Amino acid sequence: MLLQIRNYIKQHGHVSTLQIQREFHIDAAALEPMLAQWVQKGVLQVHAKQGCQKTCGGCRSENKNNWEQTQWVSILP
Amino acid sequence: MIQALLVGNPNCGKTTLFNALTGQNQRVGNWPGVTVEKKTGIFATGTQNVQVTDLPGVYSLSSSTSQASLDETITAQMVAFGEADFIINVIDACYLERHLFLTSQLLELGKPMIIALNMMDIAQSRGICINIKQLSQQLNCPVIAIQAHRQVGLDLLRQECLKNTLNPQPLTLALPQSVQDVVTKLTQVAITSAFLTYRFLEGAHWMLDTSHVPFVAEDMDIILADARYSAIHAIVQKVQKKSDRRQAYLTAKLDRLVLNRFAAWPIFLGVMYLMFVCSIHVGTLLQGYLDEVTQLLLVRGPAHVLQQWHSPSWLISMVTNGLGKGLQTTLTFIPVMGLMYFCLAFLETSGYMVRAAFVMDKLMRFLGLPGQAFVPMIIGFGCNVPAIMAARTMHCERERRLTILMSPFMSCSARLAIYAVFVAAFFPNNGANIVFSLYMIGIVMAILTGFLLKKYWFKGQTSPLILELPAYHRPSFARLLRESYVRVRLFLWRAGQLIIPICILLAGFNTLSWGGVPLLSKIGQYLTPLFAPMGLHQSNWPATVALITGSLAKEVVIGTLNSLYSSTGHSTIGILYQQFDGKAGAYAYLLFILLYIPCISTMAAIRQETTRRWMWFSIGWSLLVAYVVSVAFYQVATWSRHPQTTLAWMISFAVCGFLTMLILKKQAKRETYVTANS
Repeated sequence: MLLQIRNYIKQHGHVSTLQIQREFHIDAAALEPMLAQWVQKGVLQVHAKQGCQKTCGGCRSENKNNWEQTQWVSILP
Repeated sequence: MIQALLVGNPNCGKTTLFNALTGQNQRVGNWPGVTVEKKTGIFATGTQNVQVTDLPGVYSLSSSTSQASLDETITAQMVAFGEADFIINVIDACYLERHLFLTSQLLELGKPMIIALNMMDIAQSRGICINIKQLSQQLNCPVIAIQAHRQVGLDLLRQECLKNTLNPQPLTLALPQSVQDVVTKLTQVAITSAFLTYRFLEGAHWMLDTSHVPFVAEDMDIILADARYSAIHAIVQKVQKKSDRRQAYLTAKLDRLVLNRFAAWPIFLGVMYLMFVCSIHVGTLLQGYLDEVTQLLLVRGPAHVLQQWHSPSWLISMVTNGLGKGLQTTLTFIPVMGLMYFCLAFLETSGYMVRAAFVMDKLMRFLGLPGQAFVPMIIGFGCNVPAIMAARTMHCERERRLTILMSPFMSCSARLAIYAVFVAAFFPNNGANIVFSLYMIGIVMAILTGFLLKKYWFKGQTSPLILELPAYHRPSFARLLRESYVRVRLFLWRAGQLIIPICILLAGFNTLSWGGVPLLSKIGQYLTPLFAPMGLHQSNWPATVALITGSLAKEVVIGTLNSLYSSTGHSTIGILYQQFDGKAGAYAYLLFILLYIPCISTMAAIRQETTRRWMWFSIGWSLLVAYVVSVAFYQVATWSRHPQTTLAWMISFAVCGFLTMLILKKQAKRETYVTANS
């Protein structure tokens, strides 16, 4: 599981935690310690949370909640 | 007295359960040598009393001393070395997968254990359903569902403490043989239990005397954690069901296809093509009917009435060719615009539009352009002004300016209205292909512009595309209709405000003469030779005037043509066919419409978001690109009529292009030099 997640991030470059959750069918709470382990090992880096990137006000309420939780992960060079 | 330990993750409700079980029978002190609070209490289980210790919450028993907090160290020590007859492991049902990590470690202890699955009511309200019986079977450990804050399930828990018969088995971890050998060897050498060996290998080196421990590979903790997480995940997949899981599964499944390395591009092009087929084929069909009806009601009808009243010709011209034609033009946009907005709304709300940006990202990054630029560019399919504003979301100023200067080449909805009319006249059978090709050319020109600017001016590292992929949604028809209606109404309002006054003005101008020739005709004929190389004949001066008015707003082009052609008495489509030089001439004209200045609002937005200099650059560059591409296309398409002229044009374009690149390169170098030395 841990290795699969690392390989997935490596394959895609930059991914959001929401994408990883969907791909591996896991919760954010379960994913967090896995990512933390890789960050501790110096393999991954976690980026700041991104806000909505649409200027037209098209975000719906459920997406607004996801934006608050989403972080971005990438492989450290 | 029976000794029990209360163990669980932080905030799982341990202390609430502790208080519920022990009530007033609590004693609070400190753990030896530290200032961390130690809580012990007693609760009765019918015939016997149980002394329970509430341990500080931990996520894992394997933290090293350097990273672990004091709380975590105390809990790990008590669990590993303390005296306890059984363990009550409290799990928050809302976070089953996360909390089972600690549970799996506790199972390796070999002590009797009971799992208290807490906050079941909250889990249910979140749509989480856990099969308690199956979970108990998977963990080989009794599981009791409780709600500690409501004191639900506590009696059952007390009864289970009495039974205390099951010896839990650790989870079966899928470890490579080499790792299993290491575990066995380490257990023998250090003369210890498998529990402590695993903790040591996971990073809690303080748990074992390491003086006789052989060298252990560095990544052992990762291998163990990977096996543990996999085992837990498999259990959770079997015992837990979530109400929103289905949508997530479907999204992940679709993304594997939509974002597939080989399938992504054909799907993207196919989706875009379908959008045009729908808008153009169906839209132009409806447009034809609307055109006839509005022509009758707004132009021929009022003309007849005014003639009956013996009105002056200037009034008839202003009312019919000006106001009437203006209104007719505006209204006939509705079918094509409406369908285009409907399709765009569908792509946006379904979640595909963002995926399109990811598909383009690879190509963009290959050319050294920011993938994130494609998101504002997609917005440009509706209107270029919000596309330029959308570039504000980009953090890098250099990339933001690059995106702004690329956006005007994205074919907006106003241009689509023009394509629809020409397609009906010249390409009735394959209109969708023609429109699709124009959109693709626009994208190519945008990317080419970005590539050149990046090469000479906006040098630097490209930021990665950081864009959230929302779950796919099936948009409701009512919502799509509502969004399309709002956009069409806004478009018509804006278009009407421009088209009608300009048509009235043009009609008025057309009644003015200079030397016996209508003034507008004079101006048009004066400028038309400039556009002769792209197929505009002298007699087609209205097309030149339309290009001039079109620089104010593209919506006005058809209105201008309508207004100026109407004096001949034929329909616009009939006149177009006569005035333009066949399909080649029409397509060259459309290329010019596509590529030159979108409108005055777009230029104002560029000025606002960048500088005046970049605005003028955008104007000049778009005119140059539009002229070169249109002339090149027309010359090549009609080369058999004038091969030498075509060759001369191609050579001059090649030479001018080379000189332009040299000038741009020099200018860019000079600015870098000046900037470096200032």
